[in-house]
Amino acid sequence: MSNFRPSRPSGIKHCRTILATVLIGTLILTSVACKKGIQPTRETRFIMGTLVEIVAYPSSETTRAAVNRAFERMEEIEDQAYPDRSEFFLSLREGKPSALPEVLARVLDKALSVASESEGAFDPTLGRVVSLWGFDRNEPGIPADEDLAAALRTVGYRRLSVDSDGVVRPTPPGNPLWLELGGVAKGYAVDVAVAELTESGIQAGIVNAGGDLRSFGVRPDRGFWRIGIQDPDDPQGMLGVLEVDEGSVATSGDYERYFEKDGIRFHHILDPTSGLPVRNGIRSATVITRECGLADALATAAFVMGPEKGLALLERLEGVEGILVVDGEDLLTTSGVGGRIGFDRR
Amino acid sequence: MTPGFRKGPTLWDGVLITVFIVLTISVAMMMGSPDPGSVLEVKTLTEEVRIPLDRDGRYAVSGPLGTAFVVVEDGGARMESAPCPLKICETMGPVTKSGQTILCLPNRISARVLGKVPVDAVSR
Amino acid sequence: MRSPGKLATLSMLICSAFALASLERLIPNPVPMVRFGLGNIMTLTAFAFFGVEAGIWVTGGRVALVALIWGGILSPTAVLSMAGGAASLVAMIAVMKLGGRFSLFGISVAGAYAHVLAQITVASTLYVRSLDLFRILPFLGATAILTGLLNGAVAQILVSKMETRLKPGKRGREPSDFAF
Repeated sequence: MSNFRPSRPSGIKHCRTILATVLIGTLILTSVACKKGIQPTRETRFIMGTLVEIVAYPSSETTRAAVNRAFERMEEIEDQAYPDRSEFFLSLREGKPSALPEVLARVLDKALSVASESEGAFDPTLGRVVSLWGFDRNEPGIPADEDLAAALRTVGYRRLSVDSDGVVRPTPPGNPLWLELGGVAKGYAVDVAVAELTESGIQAGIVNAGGDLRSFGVRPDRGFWRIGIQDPDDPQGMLGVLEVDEGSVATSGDYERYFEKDGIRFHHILDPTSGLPVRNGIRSATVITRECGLADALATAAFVMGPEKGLALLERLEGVEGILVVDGEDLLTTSGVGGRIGFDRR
Repeated sequence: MTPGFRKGPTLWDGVLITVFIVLTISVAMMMGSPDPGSVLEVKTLTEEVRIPLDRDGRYAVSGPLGTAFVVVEDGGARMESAPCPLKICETMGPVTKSGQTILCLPNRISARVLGKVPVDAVSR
Repeated sequence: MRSPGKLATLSMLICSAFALASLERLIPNPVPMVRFGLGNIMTLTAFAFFGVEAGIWVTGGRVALVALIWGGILSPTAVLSMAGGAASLVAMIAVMKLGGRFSLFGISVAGAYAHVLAQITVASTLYVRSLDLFRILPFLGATAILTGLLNGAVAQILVSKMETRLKPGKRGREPSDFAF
């Protein structure tokens, strides 16, 4: 009879207890349901040759208006960052000094700093070579050797100077300068869009320009952002998922733009020394850092430098982490990945 | 056998029921709402259409370069006869799961399977 | 389990459980997949009067009878029903073994919830082969808590009625003291 306890007459009291419990439970359920109800505004637009998606919390008219302004800021940059739209690029190609549009000042500055950090592995003066391969016009083909050799003579990030009143001068004077700032400009546009959104008082969101992205604020429900890393071999697969707070993630991969000829893949990441698509075993390079413009340039730089040197560069720079996907090898990651920055392999 | 129970709901009953309620809520949060069935959202510069992935067919989609076809079959979708030069979009399919996307940048067409996705964005 | 009176009462409980379960199958379902589990009222009553073993007999008997009479023993429905019954028994016994802290309400809710959980688990591993079924767990689980409370209340009323009817004038004594 050890289990037996006499019936207690105070059933009413217990009824109250249980009612209270159920009530509290229902309240929790409702509050959770409400919290799940925080939906983002999600808008896409084709800008800078890619599909830009902005996700911003919470969904409201105010948010949508801010998102539209952010898109417009990106389009303003687009208008000035591409050779087919701006006189600036065209006169530099003729070797003439040219006034740097204000919007591009930060872009060029970032591009040149990454160029010097990577000792030219990333080079913003590669435009003539890119154009020969036709990747900028989506009409790709293998250039003739002599054309490539001529184009390579225009390459070199030290062949220009920017003076104090914002005029870019080719050095030596008259040297044709084919600036190619598309990647950095795209990342910079993401940074500008994020600034526009935060200044508009948007709590949290993510701006994703075709895989170069930047998150800001604390994501509702989860607190951090989950960013998938593309599997180079499977267009619909992910290699892993990064868990980041505010910050940018950009990836350069050989699967983004390429054409195949006689079974050989010619992709759009070109080596500034040879003018040919980089072949060093790297399939993709992902960089995690604060600014998206830097992330894009650094990802390209790490890709061109190869597994060892590329990883060393990312490891050396303050506030920069990276993941390199190398053919037939395990992933290479900098020391902060997996620790400070969460990373789940798939 | 030693039967005999306390009468009426006891405090411990309340605790037990709370545990079940919490379990129910956490499963609800993990699972999310029931999947309404896969739908492909096709966006061009001018229009936006939704195609259920169980409705097989060959759908014409036009962009600035010309007409491409989105083929829906076996619960998935892929791009066919795209007018773009690199035809990378044709190799991106078929898409079947939520969040998977086919993108044709030159022709400004995106096709994305709607639904809940485990990530906020993919860096590519 | 030897006393003829006890045996007769137990048989009646099994019969009632079967009748209630059958009734539930016959009346149209307001919402698909939701079951009240009325048969469990009799299992609870058996627990209260005769203890664990009797409850197992009542659930086992009910499931066996339903399978025999309403559908093949190895049909999916019967397999699910057996899985649900077994899991619900295990859960209810576990709660009782926690030492008299719970009333019929708690035991009933535990049984109902375990029933739902087991059915979904078995159905998704054996028949559906996907985790999609667990999406309905929140709904079925919430319903199980409610029906569990309801069944617990009915069982409690039943037990107290039976106490007073069977042994008038000696209210409040422990049921197992009755001499059958």
